[in-house]
Amino acid sequence: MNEGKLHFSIDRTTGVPPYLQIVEQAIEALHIGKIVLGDHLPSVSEVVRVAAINANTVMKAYRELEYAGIAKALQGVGTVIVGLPQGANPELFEAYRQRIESLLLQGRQDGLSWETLSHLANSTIRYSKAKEAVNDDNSY
Amino acid sequence: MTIATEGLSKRYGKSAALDSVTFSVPKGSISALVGKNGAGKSTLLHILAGLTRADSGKIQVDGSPPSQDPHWLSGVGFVDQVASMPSNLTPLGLSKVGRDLNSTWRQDKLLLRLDELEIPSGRRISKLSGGQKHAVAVLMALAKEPSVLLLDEPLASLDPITRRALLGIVLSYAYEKTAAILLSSHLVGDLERGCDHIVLLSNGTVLLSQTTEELLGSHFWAANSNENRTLIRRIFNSPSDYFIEMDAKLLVCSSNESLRYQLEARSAGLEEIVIARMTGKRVTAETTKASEA
Repeated sequence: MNEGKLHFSIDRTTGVPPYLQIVEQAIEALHIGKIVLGDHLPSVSEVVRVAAINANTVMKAYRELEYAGIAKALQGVGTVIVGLPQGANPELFEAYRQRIESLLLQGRQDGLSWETLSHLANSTIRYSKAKEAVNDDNSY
Repeated sequence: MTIATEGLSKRYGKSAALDSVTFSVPKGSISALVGKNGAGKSTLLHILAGLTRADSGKIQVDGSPPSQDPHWLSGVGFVDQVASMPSNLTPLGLSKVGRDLNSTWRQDKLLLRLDELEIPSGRRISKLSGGQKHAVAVLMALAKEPSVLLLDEPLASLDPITRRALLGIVLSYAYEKTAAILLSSHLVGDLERGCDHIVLLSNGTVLLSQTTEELLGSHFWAANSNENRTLIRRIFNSPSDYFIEMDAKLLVCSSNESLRYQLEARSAGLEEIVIARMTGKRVTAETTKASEA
């Protein structure tokens, strides 16, 4: 059992509804293994106090996570993680994170700026996605 | 309903400060009382707190009309704009006085909250900044564990970080105790994510009293064109439907889902809705008929 590892931060400037930001942050935390099965989500009261948002918003987010089979509210215990989001594989995620990190650090040693690396990463992702889409079309 | 008024009116000399104000908010709700300066927000809060008498109308706060009865007073917290407190005492000293007067006083929680806001509990109130004084006044009102908390511009004098921290404390208190909070502000601003109910006052009358969910669900933006205005007029199906012209845009209020698609509507924010209602003129089915007649 684990508590206090997850802190939701609500960005008021994006158009994303606050409850959805909480859902997305919880799912992301599960993807990267920041929280695991059996962990507690912070109590509604704590999220309300830290993020200064309405309790209904937090409860709506936690209900969404329940519908998705990810969390379960247990009487007197709190909201517990009971399932992983689809495709979540924290070990694999961590392995890739380390490989990407070492590649980025190598790039820095070779004199590339963070901006250049970020640009390169994004354009490579776009290029690879496009190539994958073309290959998929050709296979029909 | 934890707070309810019906036909509440108050005059100062010849001018009406409040004119037949009717609204209610349920237990556990966080209500933003918004409106321009002079709209009647402070007068309404003073009446609800039992500090000013209304000329006419019915009022219920925490189960009974406002009074000087100690039992009623212990259930209702009020902090006015000035947040006056004995300045030669420290927050801790003031808390000891509060503890002697209120059986429900929670000094333990008060000290934790002061700590969270980084306000020294042992410093004289006269030595605190204006914002800190105001925060202390709000925390004192919370310490007696009221079921209704009335706050007049509680956040105005605070820096953004303290503002958010204090709002967080008030909101989590309301959630834990199912207490009703009514707090006034010029604009929705900081309260946008915190409140679940909006009461909009203008010139002493209630323009809006609705849940934020209802407001956000029924209002949307569309382009201000002849075509759109005609389309909306044709589709008006309930007396509560309306639109307001705001320069190049129309703020539309309608429960008609298909109208949203036809108008390629964009959702409206709470602050936008409140500003449009404060400044613009509503066009309803009734006003449309009147102009055609």
